[in-house]
Amino acid sequence: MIDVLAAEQKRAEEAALLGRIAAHDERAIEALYRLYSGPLYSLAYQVTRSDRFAQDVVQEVFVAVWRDAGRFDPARGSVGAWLFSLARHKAIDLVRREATVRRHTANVDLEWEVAPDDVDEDAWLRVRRDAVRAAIATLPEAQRTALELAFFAGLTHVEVAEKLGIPLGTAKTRIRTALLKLREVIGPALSEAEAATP
Amino acid sequence: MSHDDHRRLAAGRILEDLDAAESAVLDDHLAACEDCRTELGALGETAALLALAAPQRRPPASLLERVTASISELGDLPAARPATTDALATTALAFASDAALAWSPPPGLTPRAGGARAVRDGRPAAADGRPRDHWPLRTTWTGQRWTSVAGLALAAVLVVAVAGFGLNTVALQGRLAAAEAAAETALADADAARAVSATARAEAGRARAEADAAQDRTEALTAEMEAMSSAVGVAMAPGHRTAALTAEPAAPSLAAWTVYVPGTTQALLVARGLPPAPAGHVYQLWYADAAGVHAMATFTCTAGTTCVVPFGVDLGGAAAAMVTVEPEGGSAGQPGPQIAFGELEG
Repeated sequence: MIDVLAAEQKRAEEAALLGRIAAHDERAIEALYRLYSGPLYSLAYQVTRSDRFAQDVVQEVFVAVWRDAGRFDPARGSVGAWLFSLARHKAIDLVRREATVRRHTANVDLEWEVAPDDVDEDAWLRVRRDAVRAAIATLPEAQRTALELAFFAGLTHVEVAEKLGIPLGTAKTRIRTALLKLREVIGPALSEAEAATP
Repeated sequence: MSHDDHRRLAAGRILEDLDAAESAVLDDHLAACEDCRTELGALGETAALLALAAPQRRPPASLLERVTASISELGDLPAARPATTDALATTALAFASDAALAWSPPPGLTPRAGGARAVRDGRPAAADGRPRDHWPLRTTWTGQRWTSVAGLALAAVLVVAVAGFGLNTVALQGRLAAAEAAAETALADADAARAVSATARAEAGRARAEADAAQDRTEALTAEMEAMSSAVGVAMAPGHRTAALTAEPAAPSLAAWTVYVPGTTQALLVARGLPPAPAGHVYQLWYADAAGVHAMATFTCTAGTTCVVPFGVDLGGAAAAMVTVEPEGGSAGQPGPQIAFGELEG
């Protein structure tokens, strides 16, 4: 139960931080920045493969948080979930927009860019990261590829199907199944890992 | 339908790949099943955690400064707007929101409350027109399928702008009349006293200058109102198209649209909330088509006004329009930093 309480407490603290940001407390948004700028920048970099774009995404996310913190509803998800969703959508929009200007279609790299982790981070995030990576490693290759294309390359499900040369229904099933499996694996893994975290 | 089937639909909701029928089935089930509502939340958290799988990189130290600077620029904008404009905006937006909700979407789309928010934000809700109602906010954009919503948002801005012109013009005319009266009184006083009072002359001169300034501003507003009327004309023309532009972080309160009639040179940029261009710089319009990127007019925009800038060309075959910041005189080849960008239907 300790881990569940810790998770609830973390969520409550972050929701309170959002409340202070809604009241335009600049120290609160700096605190949020220190917690999340690294993971948000890393996500945006993975999607856009560009330092400049990744910085633009992080800036847009925090501007949006400053503007819209008062509309955040903790009942509908955690602060982290909201921030990552914002960043992913902004990064994908940026990539698609840039592709239009350059009149080319992004040539999506199926492989993860090889990059060592380069951060000093919150132990809380580290525990989660290890659990997520371990869970992804348990997915069958076909599901993992489809999920990564949809999630990190910003492809629509139609584009995923075209890219992999499979019917749309198959692509949807693979991606949905992958998410459901991750949900099943990550939940218990996090409980164990957090119980072991001091 | 089994519990597993509903879980699959919940995963589809998180992944934004449900069609309208699936979405309706899921919503019906969620209304009655607390477990599935919890499961939906957990799947959303799982999807968010996936972000952590990316190789971790350290953002540059300067990024925090950039973020705090852009937040400082943003300030407390919503509270700083004049009450009159807010009241007018609220009325116009309420009208536009109702219209957006009444708008019948193409098969497979579910605008719901997202339509109203899209109008308030000045941009459509989702990259592909699909609902994203599992997140607290909708933040992304594009998709010509939402042209009707963009058109309604533009209409709302035009309503506010035209109403604003009316108020401004009336107020300025009042000030003009008062300043002229003050000038006449001051001159009459000076004459009556036959006193060559430097103070009285200065007073009269200042009053006259204010009257002249008010006259100039009235003329400028009249010119702007004429520009706005032309935008209303294009926005009401048969076959017109409207596309929202997405603003860059440097212009957080900017809402901009391209409104044009394919096959004609009726093509305008309508922009509200454009910040003053940096010293020594102007804004410039561009459009892109199959032949490349084309530099168009440069312009500046008085703070607090709605600007209308003609493209002067047929945008029927154009794929995108954008506004950039350029040195005075503008650029002919490579565009400078973008301030707004929008795809067109061409």
